[in-house]
Amino acid sequence: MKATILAICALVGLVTGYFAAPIASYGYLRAKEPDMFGAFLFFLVDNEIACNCQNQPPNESLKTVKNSISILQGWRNQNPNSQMLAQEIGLAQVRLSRVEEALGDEAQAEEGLNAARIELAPLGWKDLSAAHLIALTTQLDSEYRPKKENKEVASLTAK
Amino acid sequence: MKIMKTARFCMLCLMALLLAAVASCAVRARYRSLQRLRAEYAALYLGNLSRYSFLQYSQAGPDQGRTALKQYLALLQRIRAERIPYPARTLHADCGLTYLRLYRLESSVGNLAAAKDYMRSAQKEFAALGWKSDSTSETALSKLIRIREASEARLYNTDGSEESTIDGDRQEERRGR
Repeated sequence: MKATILAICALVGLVTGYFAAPIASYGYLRAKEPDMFGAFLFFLVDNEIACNCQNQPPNESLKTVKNSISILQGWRNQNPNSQMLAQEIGLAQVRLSRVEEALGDEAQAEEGLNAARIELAPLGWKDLSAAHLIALTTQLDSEYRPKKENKEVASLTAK
Repeated sequence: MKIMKTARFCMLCLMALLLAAVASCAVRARYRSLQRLRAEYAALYLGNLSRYSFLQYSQAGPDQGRTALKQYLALLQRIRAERIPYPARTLHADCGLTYLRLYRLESSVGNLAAAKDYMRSAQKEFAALGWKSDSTSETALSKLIRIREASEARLYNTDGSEESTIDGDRQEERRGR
């Protein structure tokens, strides 16, 4: 009888541990490899801008981009030296400016571009003209597609 | 006495439960969950860094471009060194392309020795992909990256200027003379 109860306890432990493993791994990676974990969050925000803004009316896009910028800025407060975050915030500011221009708010659009320039100039970007930044983000957005597991090596010579 | 015995047995059961849970959690995490998560996160991180480094390379000056490309290369090498599951062919292709970009960058600023080293590293990566020796020759690879960067410049530089490309070409011409 005692052996059976003991075996049941061990079995319950085995099952619990088995199902707890993904959560434990998630916590472990979050603590031990914050850069890798940060990439996951970064990807989510990036996708939100690229994925949602293409199919939303300007009013909705405005909310999405503003929300994403505030998330990125929150992370930047934790990682003030991250140039990747600075670049992403700069590009998001350009997207915000495009949306504001679509809504007819020229002053806000210009302000957005200036905010982008403030982010991108310290990164050494050479061409900070409105035309270039808008064309660049339009090109980057047009390349958005859902994540593919395996990139084709052939793409190396494709363009 | 009986209460003591029952309490001891309950403790034993709890120990068995905890030990079994820890063991199965550790085994599954070590051999499956952690590997899968690391592979997933590494792929996302590579995607982020790839875009960041490319934009720094194509939009900023040589110093910023070099720093970003080296950061990307370091992640590719880390994935290889730590055996994080990632398609080996993609890893070779991405490393090869990054070495070629560094080759172009160093050529354009006149660091010919460094450029040569990067070209050699690129050749190794593409050879590992099974490319034939005529495709991995210095001439073939420098032509490949020149063509690729010319088309990238058309897409990502509004005026279509290929500052680094042109600088690189000049250096290569000088070397050829």
